[in-house]
Amino acid sequence: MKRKGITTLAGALVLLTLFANTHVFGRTISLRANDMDMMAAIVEEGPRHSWVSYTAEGANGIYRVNPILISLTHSFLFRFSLEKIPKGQRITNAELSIKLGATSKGARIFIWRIVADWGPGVNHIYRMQRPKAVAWALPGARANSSDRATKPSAMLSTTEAGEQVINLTEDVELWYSGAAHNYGWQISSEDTDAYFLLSIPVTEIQDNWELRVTYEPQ
Amino acid sequence: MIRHLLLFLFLGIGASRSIGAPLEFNIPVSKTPVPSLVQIALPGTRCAAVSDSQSLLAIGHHASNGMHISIYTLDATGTPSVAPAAQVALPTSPALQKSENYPISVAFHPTLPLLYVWQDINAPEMPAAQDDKNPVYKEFDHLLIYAVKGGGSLQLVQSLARGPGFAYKQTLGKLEVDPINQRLFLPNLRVPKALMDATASVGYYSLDVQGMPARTASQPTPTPKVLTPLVAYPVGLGFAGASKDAVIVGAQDGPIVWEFDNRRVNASKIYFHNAAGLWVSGHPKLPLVYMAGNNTPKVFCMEHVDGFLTLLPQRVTVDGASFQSAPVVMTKQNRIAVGGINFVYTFKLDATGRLTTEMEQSPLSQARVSALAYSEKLDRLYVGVDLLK
Repeated sequence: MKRKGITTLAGALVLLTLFANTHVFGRTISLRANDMDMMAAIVEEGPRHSWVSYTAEGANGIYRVNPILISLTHSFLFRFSLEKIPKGQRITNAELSIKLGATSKGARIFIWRIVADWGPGVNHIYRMQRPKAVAWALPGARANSSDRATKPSAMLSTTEAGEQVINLTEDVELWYSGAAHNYGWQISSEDTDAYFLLSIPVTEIQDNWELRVTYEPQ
Repeated sequence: MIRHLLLFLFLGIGASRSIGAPLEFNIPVSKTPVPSLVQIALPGTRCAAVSDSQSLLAIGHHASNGMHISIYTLDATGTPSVAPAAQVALPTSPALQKSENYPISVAFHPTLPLLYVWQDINAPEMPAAQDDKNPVYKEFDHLLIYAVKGGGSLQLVQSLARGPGFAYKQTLGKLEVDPINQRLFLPNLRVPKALMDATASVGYYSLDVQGMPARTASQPTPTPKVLTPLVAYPVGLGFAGASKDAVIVGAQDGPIVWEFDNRRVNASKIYFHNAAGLWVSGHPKLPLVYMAGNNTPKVFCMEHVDGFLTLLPQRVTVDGASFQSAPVVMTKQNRIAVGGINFVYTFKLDATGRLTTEMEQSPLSQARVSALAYSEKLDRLYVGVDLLK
């Protein structure tokens, strides 16, 4: 009888904890590569390509999009769909986790909130080519306040390869609340001769990019 | 239908703002048969093409009574002739008689009475150092161009694509005619003295107004323009979205955008995880490319602008499928068809040409369904099979 009571109490506590986690204290969801709905790797030397990034030395103009090279002339644009976050919540934390490969000494990683609509045919010159061609204010989506926000959302200085976690709570809150449209982020380098490599979040490789969003009821 | 609708709604989590259709989903086995299907019983079929301008169907197959290409006439209802109207044996050389030659791809010129055939040969391999002694490189022509005469009879008018610049012993590949830019794209080329390990490549012949590979005073023998080597064989599993500046090439593990005259970025490859050899076909009227992973259950749809791929592909996995052919766009049905193992599949497209969760499949008596062709004029999908089912 006593054991049954304890079991019932434990069950109730578990249910209460689950309920509290979900409805009172909020919860954290993990958005992965397959939650991204827009992506582009753009470079100055291939201005018509939406997908071009990295070339090996001596490869005679053959590029590939794995890994992603970020430099003063290469950047990566991506957007997570936030539709998995239930309505009526408040974003309390958002952290982007990426895997950094080789970097040049002292390379700084910049994450920018994109403020201009982009879409089909996006490349170094154009932010979209359909339904009509519209150019970036500056090639490579590098015009602050026009193509991307006035200031970077985050800047990371590291020479360490491996996982990097970047706090982007303010951007996700802006998008989720509707104060700004979700056009995604740009990852760039702003320093001459600096570069770094990122693993590619393209199709089905789900574990190398993650956006963890914590929210709670308003 | 309700199940599909619910699945569509459920999977809307991946919907792109610009695409509007789900980006990633599975499709279960379907019991609905493929529409407009016409089966042609012919042993060992490998490839097929339809000429709407001449109402002809060409099927390439392993040698049957010594013949490799069978031509069927199509009547006004789309019914093929009971027996082939014409057949031809693909030429090889006396030194290679012991090795089987076979067609890999056939393609009609859309407006001229020409049939292009790409053949290969199962001859012994030799070390690259002996290229100059290799009888295949010395005597075997991969490209055969036939004039199509009355009643579908074929007359060989030109054979070329010989030498160490053309790989052999390949079994997959696709010719593609680009009539607007007057190009004939070629699979499985070879760069003998490449700086890189990989020597597989693709290329194209510029065509003259008669549809023949162009000759110039400086190049009396037509020479293809070749992409710098990049990938493993087979390569050139289709060419799509061709513009004057670029084309999308089917290759191992993902599509390649080949920008012909940009020496800084000559080509860029997008990796599709676990896609294997990727067959590609373009929509004739929409800026979309459809792709199927060879020996995989995966189908993709991706947008392009003038031959440059853009944004993210739709990724579809079909339960139990193992695809064996390039997608064929059935324009009047608003579907694509893909061959599999013992099945042919059709995928319904939405109004913008994107893949939906609606699919049909029909069982066929054909282990590897790779000879598919669609007639837009007759709205028929022709599939070569060993036996009618």
